This record gives sequence, structure tokens and C-alpha cells, in this order.
Amino acid sequence: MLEKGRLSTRQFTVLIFLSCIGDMILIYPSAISSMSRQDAWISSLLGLLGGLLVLWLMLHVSQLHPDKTLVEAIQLIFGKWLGSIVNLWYLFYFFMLCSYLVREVGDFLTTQIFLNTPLKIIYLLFILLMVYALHAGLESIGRSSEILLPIFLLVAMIFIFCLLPQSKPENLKPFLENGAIPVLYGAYFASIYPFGELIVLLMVIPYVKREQKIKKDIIIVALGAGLLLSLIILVSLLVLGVDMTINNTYPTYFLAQKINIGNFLQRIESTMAVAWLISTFSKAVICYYAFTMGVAQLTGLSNQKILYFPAAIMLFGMADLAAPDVLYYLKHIVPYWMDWDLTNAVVIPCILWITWACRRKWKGKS
Amino acid sequence: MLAVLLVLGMVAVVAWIELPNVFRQRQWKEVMVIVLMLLAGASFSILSIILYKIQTPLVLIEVIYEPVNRLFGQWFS
Repeated sequence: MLEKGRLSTRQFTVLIFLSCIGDMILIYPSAISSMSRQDAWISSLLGLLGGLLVLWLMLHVSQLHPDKTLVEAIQLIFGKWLGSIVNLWYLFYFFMLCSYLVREVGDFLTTQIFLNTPLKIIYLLFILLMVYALHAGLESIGRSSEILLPIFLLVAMIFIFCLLPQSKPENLKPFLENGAIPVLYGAYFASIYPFGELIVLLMVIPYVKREQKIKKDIIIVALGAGLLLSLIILVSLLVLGVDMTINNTYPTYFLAQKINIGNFLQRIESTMAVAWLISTFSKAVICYYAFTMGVAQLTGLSNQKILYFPAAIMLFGMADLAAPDVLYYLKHIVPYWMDWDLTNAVVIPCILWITWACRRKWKGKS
Repeated sequence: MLAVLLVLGMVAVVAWIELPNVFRQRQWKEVMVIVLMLLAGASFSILSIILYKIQTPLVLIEVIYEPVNRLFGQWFS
């Protein structure tokens, strides 16, 4: 087995929480409210149910071969040739997802905080941090995420409570203005976008120490993450109103700038940026891990650590090439990306499950 | 030009760190994977550094999912 480290159940659930929120905390409100407008919070809550179903399906598929990663399981179930093709598809997905996250971090930091720093330097720093984290090992990533979670939760809670005094309930009206269909489209987005991308965690799940209630714990944690996302979208609709939420590139960051308690507690938006960086970093590092691990397992290498630096250079280049501009990856690609997530998180695991069941039945008869 | 040289230097440093060990152990598969990834990484990085406009790989996703997306668009509009 390539990976020697083991995560505890708690570390794994923390990773699930952070990577479920991931990059969503900043871009989720504008994306979902451009679909279902002022009813976005209903979509988000409805999508939570769908998302938990998706997560349940993925956990079930991971149980087919409990000690194998996703890449190995696909190789076993689909056979060598078809398995390799499907695996290449997944590796492309992990790689693009990771470069997409690096790109988002770079664009956000250069446009909002480090205005005079070149974009490439921010990529470089972020990628070096990821390489360092992976060289420290999977266990260290788990432990550091345990340390980072309270900071994240504290900032998120401060953010939500400090904004409540400015909320205007009339922003949520008219209720169900365009009927149920846009709400359902938003719910599709909300169930597939944060939860579908958790498929990368199937590359980590074999290295978790098995405990009895792990499935239940994961579902509860994902429920918490989804509720937090719904709260954030609700606050952003209540305070900013629907048009400001749609037209801002980073509505949550803009919201954090509006926090003002008694002309004393104000301009705390950089703590919000820190929370966003924490969750995005956790997600990106898991994608990066999944990519290198997948390459090593697909080609049958004896050691995946030699791939960390080459993969980092690929990421550094692809972060820029992945999208020509901000609008492309925040607006234009989103519907296609949703279908891509749907394929990877629902369609292929379903086929995998059916093939596994057929194979077992077939073998039992002969 | 300087930036391109920097990228090439970075690639050379990585090759210098990772390659000698696997060469010595005659693990040719490892050598091949590392060299391929370094070549891909060097070409991506240089293309991005000199700001050369190429299509993103995500165009593939757009082409594949165009029909599906139109179908969903009809359902949800």
C-alpha cells in the first residue's frame, strides 16, 4: 500500500466539512441566486437533501472495496482497459478541480487584498504550501485541519451574527415569484456543486481508521456544512438583496466589509478571507493528493512522493491556462461543470455499483 | 525571457531532486512518469508565463456536455 498514514474518523469528518464548504463560501451566493433569485435559500435547503443522497451513494460505492481507493476500485471492477480510460477521466477531473481552486485563490487575493502582488507569486506561494503539506503527510493534513476548524467556525459565526442587525426581511419577497422551476434548478446546483465534488475524498477513505458509526458521522457533518452554506446565502440575501448578490463577484467578502457594530467593530473582512482560504486550502490539498495518488496507482509506481513536485509545476501552469478570465469560470463554465460533477459523482458510481453487483451474481452462478 | 528561464530552472531543480534516486534504482516506469509530468508542467508553465493564448482544456467539457446542458435548459426554463 502506498500510503502509510492513517486518519482518525474525527479528522476525516473535519476534512469533509472543510472541503464541502471549500471554495463555496465566496462564490456560492452569487451562483445560486442567479438561478433562483430571492428563493435561493429554499433551493439551498432543498439541495441539501439531494446532496445527502449523493453523499450516501458515494459512501456506499466506497464500501464495495473498503480497502481500495477509487482508482483501484475502478480498475478492479471495470477491468484493465475500460478502467484505465475511466481513471484517466477522473484524474483529469481532479487535476482541473485543483487548478480551478488555485486560480480562484489567486484571482481573489490579487483583486481584493494583495493588489500589487503579481498573480504568479500568489500561485507559487499557495502551491508551495500544498507541496509542504503533502510532504508532511496525510496525518499532518488531518491534524492541521482539526486545528483550523475552530478558527473557521468562529469566523463564520461572527460573520453571521454581526450581519443579522442589518437584515431586511422584505428582500426575500416576493416569495416564489417565478414558480417552482427555477427553485428546482437552484436545488440541483446546491446538491451537486458542494457535495458532488466530495468524490475526491473516496481517494482518502481507505486510509481512515474504521469505526462503527463513520457513515452516520459523515452524513451529520455534511448536513452541518450544508446548513452553514444555506445560512450564508440567507444572510447575503437578507442584507444585500438579490441584485447585489448576483452582481458581486465575491458577495460574502463584500458583506464582511459592511459589518459595523457601533462604529467600533468594522472592517473585519480579512478574517473572512482567512476563513475562505482555510476551507479552500483543505479542498485543494485533497484534490492535489488525489491526483498524485491516482497517477501513482494507475501507473503502478512504488512511491507517490516523487510526483509531488512535478504535479506542482503542472498545477502552476494550468492554474492560468484553465480559464481566460474570471467571468469564464464564475459564470460561463458553471452549468457545464455541474453536469460534469453529476457524471463523476452520480452516474459513474451508479454504473460502478451495477457492474459490481452483476459481476458478483455472475460469479456466484458459475 | 527571464521568467521562462526561471521556469526552466525550476523544472531542472525538480528533476535534479527527484530523478537521480529512481535512476539509481533502475525504476524506469517512475523515470518515465516523472519526465512526462515535468514536460507537461514545463509546457503549461511557459505558455502561461509568456501569456500565450490557447484554448482551455475545459472546452472539452463544454463540447461533451452541450447537448445535456441544452436538455436541462429546456426542462428548467
